[in-house]
Amino acid sequence: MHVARLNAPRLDGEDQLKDIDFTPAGIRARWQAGYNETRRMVALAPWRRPVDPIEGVIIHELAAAPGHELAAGIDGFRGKTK
Amino acid sequence: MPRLSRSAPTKLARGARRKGPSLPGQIVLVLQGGGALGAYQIGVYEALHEAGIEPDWVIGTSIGAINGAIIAGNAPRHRAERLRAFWASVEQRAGDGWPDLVPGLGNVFANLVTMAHGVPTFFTPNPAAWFGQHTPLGIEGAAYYTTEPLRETLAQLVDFGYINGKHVRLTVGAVNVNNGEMRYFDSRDEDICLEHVMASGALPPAFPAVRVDGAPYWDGGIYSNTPIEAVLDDKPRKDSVIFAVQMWNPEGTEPATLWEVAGRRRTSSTRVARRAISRGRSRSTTFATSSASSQSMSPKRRAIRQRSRSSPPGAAARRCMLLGSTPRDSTARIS
Repeated sequence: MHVARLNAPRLDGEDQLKDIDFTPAGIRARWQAGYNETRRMVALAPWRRPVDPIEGVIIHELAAAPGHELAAGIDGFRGKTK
Repeated sequence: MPRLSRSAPTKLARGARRKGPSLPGQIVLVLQGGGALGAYQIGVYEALHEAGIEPDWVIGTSIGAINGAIIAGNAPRHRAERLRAFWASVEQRAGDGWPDLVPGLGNVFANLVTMAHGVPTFFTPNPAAWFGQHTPLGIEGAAYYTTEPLRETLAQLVDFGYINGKHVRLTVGAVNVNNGEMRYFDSRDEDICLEHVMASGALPPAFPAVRVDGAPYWDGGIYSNTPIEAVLDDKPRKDSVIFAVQMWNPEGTEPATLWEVAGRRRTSSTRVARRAISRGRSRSTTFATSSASSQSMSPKRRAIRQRSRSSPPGAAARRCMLLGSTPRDSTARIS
């Protein structure tokens, strides 16, 4: 079972009212972030990695930002697998 | 903003072949609650849709239940468009046109307007709440806002007949006000209707409880904002690729002001609850995989599994916490 975790980013200047930030700019920024990160995850397709059958759940997370993506690991998957 | 895909829709009857990439197992989309943060989920769905990946099962709480209902309640070709329609309708434009002399001031103003006036297609102030904290309003009226507008909006955007036609499984989380128990309403087991989605988003004290089968329900997020547990607890458990969308990012620089501390506290408490349950559950899932896995289980793991089975029911929460604090390095970590 693979869990591809997609984490909504912290935006500049956000505060405890962020969950009522329905401003067009706020909605657009979060929407775009979700779109970009999911595209990265789909492109990396970490669920294609061979896995240890004893691990029931494998959690995959993206590295913080595209610019800081980790180098390819032994299996060629760039990003973190926990 | 991402371009709306014009590609041909994928027919998603159960067992139908997908046009997209082949993934190992059913595709599950898990959507946490988080109000306006839910805009992130739309981007997630659009990117999956463009890649030819449509969920077999959507699980959501609160705004995740609302977005989830729009996804599961429409044919694939209409989903992105309906999600966009919902989010366009809830935009708060009151801060538009404010000069950007003080960064963020327009946002503060827009948020104040949202608190004072609500969002016309989502929630509006409940005048009965002005009569004071002790006025008896009943469980379905005791809230600062009414969510009647959301009922109308969802009725226009979601085809509940489509949901109950079982094209895509939909599960929404809510908590029973009378006994505090979490309940996942699941279209596999029962018909899902507007009430279930409304109940999942009924965050008190802003929003009033919603009655389902006679019992009042609140937003499932007040008990557990970790809808992924519904997949891990599913019976029978199936191979899955789960896209789990986390809305409350706990990472950042040290908060320095009271305002920042208040913001971080909310994020951190959500995070703690999530870790305690979801990591605990995922570890126990590790120990309880299929029989093929248990045959190759190491003696140490078998012992842990045995112990977890024999623990008294009261120890369950503690066990989750202990397992949740297991160092991550104990699992495969390849960077």
